[in-house]
Order: sequence, then C-alpha cells, then structure tokens
Amino acid sequence: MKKKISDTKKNNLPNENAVRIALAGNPNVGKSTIFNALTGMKQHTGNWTGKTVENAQGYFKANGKNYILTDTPGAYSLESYSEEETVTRDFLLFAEPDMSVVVCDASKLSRTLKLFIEITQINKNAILCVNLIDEAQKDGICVDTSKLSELLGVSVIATDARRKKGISELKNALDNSKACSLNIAYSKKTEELIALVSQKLEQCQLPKRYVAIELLKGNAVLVEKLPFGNGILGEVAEILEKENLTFQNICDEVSEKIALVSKQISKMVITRNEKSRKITTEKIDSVLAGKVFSFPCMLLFMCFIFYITVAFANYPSSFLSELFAKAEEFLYSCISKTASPVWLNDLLLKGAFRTLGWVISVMLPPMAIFFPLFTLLEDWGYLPRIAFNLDRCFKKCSSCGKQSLTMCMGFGCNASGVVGARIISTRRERIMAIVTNSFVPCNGKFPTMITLITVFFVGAYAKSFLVALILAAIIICCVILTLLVTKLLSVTLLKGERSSFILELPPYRRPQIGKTLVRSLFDRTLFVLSRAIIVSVPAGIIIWCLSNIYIADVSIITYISEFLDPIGRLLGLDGVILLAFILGLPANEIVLPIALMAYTSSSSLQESTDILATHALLVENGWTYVTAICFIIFSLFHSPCLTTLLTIKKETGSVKWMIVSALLPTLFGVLLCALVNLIL
Amino acid sequence: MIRLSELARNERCRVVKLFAQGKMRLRLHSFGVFEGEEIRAVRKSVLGDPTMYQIDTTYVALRYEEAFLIGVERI
Repeated sequence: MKKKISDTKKNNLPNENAVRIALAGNPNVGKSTIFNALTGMKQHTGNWTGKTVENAQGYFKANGKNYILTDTPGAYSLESYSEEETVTRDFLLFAEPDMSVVVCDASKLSRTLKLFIEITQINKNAILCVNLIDEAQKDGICVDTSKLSELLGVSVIATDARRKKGISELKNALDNSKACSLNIAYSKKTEELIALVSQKLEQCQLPKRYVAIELLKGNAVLVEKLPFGNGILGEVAEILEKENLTFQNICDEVSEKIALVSKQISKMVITRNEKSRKITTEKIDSVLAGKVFSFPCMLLFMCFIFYITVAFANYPSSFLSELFAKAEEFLYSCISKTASPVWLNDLLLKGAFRTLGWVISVMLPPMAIFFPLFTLLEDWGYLPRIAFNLDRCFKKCSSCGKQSLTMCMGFGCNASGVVGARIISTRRERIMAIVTNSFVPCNGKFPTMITLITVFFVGAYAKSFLVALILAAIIICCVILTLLVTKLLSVTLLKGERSSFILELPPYRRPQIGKTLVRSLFDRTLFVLSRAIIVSVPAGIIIWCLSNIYIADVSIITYISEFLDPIGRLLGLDGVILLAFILGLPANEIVLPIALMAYTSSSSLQESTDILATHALLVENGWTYVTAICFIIFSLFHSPCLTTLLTIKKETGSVKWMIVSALLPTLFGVLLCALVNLIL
Repeated sequence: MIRLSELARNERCRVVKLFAQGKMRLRLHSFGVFEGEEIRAVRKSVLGDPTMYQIDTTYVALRYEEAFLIGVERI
C-alpha cells in the first residue's frame, strides 16, 4: 500500500515547483465549474449530485506560480459513506496536497461548512470558496465573508463561478494561503482518549490527531489503508470499553460536534431575509413533482424533445446527404482521371466514402439536436425530479432510486450511464444499474429508430409529431423492461437487501444555454461521431469487399448472409442485418447505414436518403413492416457497444458482469424478435 | 414522539431521536438531521413514496423506511 501511495504522489508531481491544490466540496456546489474557470478546461457539469466521480487534474498559472489542481468527487463528509467520499478522503490524506480549496454553497452554508472543517482536520492549509453567492442573494441570504474569514483564520472568497465572478480574487488568494485557526475540542474524556491513541501512532506520518479520531470512530475502511494492521482497531476498542464507550458513541460525538460548530459559525455570518426563489423552486416542484402533473410533464418533456429532434433533423440530414452525393460524384470524376484501378476507386468511394456519408448525414443531425436538449434538462435540475417521481417503481424492484438517474444518463450515452452508477453506494445496486443501463436506447440508436419509424410507419417527414409519439411509446416500453429486468436480477443473480436512499433535490438553475449547446456538441456529439466515423470507414470497406469479391460467381456477402439467414429469419430479420449488427458492435450508430450499404452495393438502386428511395430499397430486399419492427427491437436490445462493454469491465472489475450485460439484452432482443415474428 | 414518516404534508417537526445506525446515521448527519433540528414535509411523490423534506434550506427525498428511523415531535 505504501508503494501505491508514493506512486500517486509522484504522479501528481510532474513539476517540482508547482503547488498542488485539492479542490473539494459537497456535491452540486459547482466544484467542476470552479475547476473549469481556474484551469480553462471543459469538464462536463450538470445540475445533479455526483457529476464528478473521479479525480480530474488541471494545470494553471497565476501570479507567476504554477498550480496543479485536482478536482475531487463531491462529498458530504469524509466519513466514507460512499465511494466518492472515500476517494476524496484518500486523496487528501495520502496524496498530501499542499493546500485545499473547499467549495461551499452560500445558501447551504451550515451544511457545506462541515466538510471544510473536516478537511482542515487533515490539512490546515485551506481556502474557503463560498460559491453560488448570487443564487443565495436571490434567496435573500447574505454571507459576511470577512467575518467568516476572521472566524476561520483562512481566506474566504465569495464566487459565482458560472459568471466568472471572484475567480481572479481566488487566484490571488492562492498566493498566501493561511492555516485554519479553528480548533475543535471534544469532551474531556474524548480528548483524553485521543491523546492516548495518538501515543500509539508515533510511527505514523499522517496527521496524528485525525487518524486517532478515525480509529476511535472505528473506521475500518481507513485502517485497511494504514500501515498498522487490523489489530489496532481491537486495541482501540479495548480502550473504549474501559470507559464504557463504543465506536458509535465517538462517531456521534465527533459528527455532532462538527455540525454544531459549523452551524454556530454560519449563524454568525449569515443574514437572511426570507422569501424569494426557494419558493420558486417549490412552485415549480408542485407541478413537476406534484400529484397531478408530474407524469404528464415527464411525457410532455420526452415527446417535446423527440419532436424537436425529428422535426429539425431532416433538413440538415437531406442537405448533408445531397452534399455527400455530389462530393462522391466529383471525387469519382477526379479519381477516374488518375491511373488508379477501377476496383480501388470503387472501394474507396462506393465503399468507404459512401458509408461515411450515410453515417454522417443520417446520424449527425438527430444526435446534434437530441443531446444538447437533454443536457439542458439536466442542467436545469430536472433529472433528480424524475428520480423522485419514479423511485417507488425502483424500490419495488429492490433497487436504488438513483438508478433512475443513471438510466436517464443512458439516454445520452450508455457508457456515461455506467460510469454515473458510481453514485450508487452498494455494489449490488450499482451492478444492477450497470447491467440494466443498456436497456434504454442511447443517443446513437435514436436516428436508426427515427428513420425506420418514418419510412415504414409514418411515411413522411411532415408528421414529426407522430414519430415523436411512437418514439415516446417505445421509450416507455424500454423503461418498463428495465424495471422488469432489475426485478429479475434482484431475485436471481443479485439477491440482497435494498440499501437506504437519500436523494438531494437541488434548486432549479437557469441553464446556460449557449455554453451547453457548444459544449455538448463538441464534447459529446463530436466524440461519438468521430468514433462512428473511425468504425464506419473500415466497415464500409469490408462490406464493399464482401459484396464485390466473387467466388464461383457468387459474392462473399451472399455466402455469409445465406449462412446467417436462417437465424435472421427466425428473428424476423435477415442475414445482412445480422452481419450489420455484428460489424456495428464497436458503434451502434453505424448498423443501419452499413445494412443499407450492403443492400445498395449489391443492388441497382442509387444511394439516397430520400425516404421513398430508402423504402423502395428496403422493400426490394424483402423488408416488411415486421422486419422494421424486429430491426427496431433488436437495435434496442442487443449487446451494448464496445466502449460501453469496456467501461462495464472497468467499473465492475469483472469480466463476468461484462458478459452478463452483453448477453442479457441480446437474450431479450432475440426472444422479443422471435415472438413478434411468430405473432405477426 | 412520532416518526418523521407520519408527518403530513406541510407539517413541521423537531427531531427528537435518531434511530438510524451506522452509515445511514452518518448520512443523515451530513444532511443536517440532528436532534433539535427542524424538518418540514414538503410533498409526497405521486406514487406515494418517497417524500420530499425540507431541512434548513435543503430539499431531500427520503423513502418511508428511512423517514421511519427519525423520531420527531410536531411543532
């Protein structure tokens, strides 16, 4: 363990002269925003608890000094209730940063100040950053920062990181950090015990008083990481027994004392005039989380987002596909003048380039519209309300209500939903959330569904609203299936008691529309798209080769699809589609384009994204509305993409759960498709 | 003394005793649930559970089982 600790230290020290700062704070107080403001980096932020789940590092210069800033996950305290809190505590204790910047929420000072006090018990060098100061003022809460600074003995900076207020003051304050002068004194007996235990810790390099208190609290998670062996807890327990005390007594005393001190301090520095936005949040909640409108509103938001996506995606879509068709023509005329062989020209243009054009023109517009809209809702603070509304369902499936948050994230990207599952504190419930995450369609599956619904069931782009309704119905089915599978898991592979559930409901914040749009477009959409492109070019080449290399007058793709055909037929699909799903494993969004590619390359029809042409092409290749339904079902429920699978392996630390999460949706997909095929 | 879970909508109470143990107790502490603290029941979820409570300036959702572990007195 010791080695590991020094390793972390080394990693955090690329520059010997740099000052290492730990950025800490409660969840959802704007740590990531402060991090971005200081370092100029673009970490994804959102209005819900637990957005940052691992330490992110950034570098910046201020007043001629170099700083390394480490953003720790949000923690309510350092008492290791959850993984984030353990990560934060371990970083502060073992990586020994030079100072910490603790971010507080101005309107929840008494609660958020507690973490500051706990952190200064480990490292006294700190700066307190009272963030969201504008929001607090709107709530009629005024914080006297100079008095607070006097009481704590450290620099206190009021900031509104979203509007970059106070950031330069914060940078200046870093230059002369002071040690916190606050001393927490416990009862006489406890202090004696602390002194007694501290004597045992002579060898210990860590802050003795802090470690002694944690030992008296019986913190087994921490002891495992200390170089004394587990025996020490037994010794401490004996000492406590002599005084007729238990670990629990000390826990309570410490926790209550720190809370009391932070409450007293915040009372001294806060002036309040009641009313205002607190009421606004409550008013919004009375609709969005209320008895009558909560479910209709959820449906309405969903339909609205889908409607906008469908209605606005088709213009850029047809524009892009025309552009690519023209570009292909142009490139072909250019390339045919050179000496390159015809087969190579065809391979590059009709294979690789055409697939690329399909992927971009069909996939990019819906993704570029859906994702920012989703992010806006997230920014506003709506996701925790969904969790609040749906929690009962998840409770019935003996899982954690926070699973609805990770489920919602899955609509954006399954991989980030899997990572987001770290907010769930027990392993059983976390794995449940991870395995079931791919039962909701990610951003990359929407364009496929939209295309097929439009082509086969609605018939014209003009009826976007109908498409949105059908999509919404599909999503509801997905959510129901997620619940069923969760229940199934909870009585089979993941038996166990449900854990406790506390969910904070943050105030609604006005989303930063411009920033959100730009960031989600560049960070997420382009990332997903670039991955799709990287995968689609080789896939296009493979498909082209398969359909243009002949063995005894029959193309290879015919052999393969004839081989896969019986299985495909059983599922209401065909061999080509199955092949497309197999090739599309690295990225879901290319499945439909490469299936279409396979059809066009062996067909006389010209490539086009016009819906009539698409319909004709698919029908020519034997598609019926049953094929379309089965395709939609199978694209919803099959193995998650490679990125997600690797993320699952990393997050669960086991290949077993990766395989389960690949097989389980596939199993449901196969069963449902076979069933639909049998009935219709 | 009653349990927090018995509180009707918009009623206020004062925490008298915390029955929660272990991690749950620490978690409640970190949300400011201590003996003597004031809590208001804001609303129940449409499906009847969980309930939204206001502790100081924070809104928190607790399931019935967790709210049952907090002994309170109406005020």
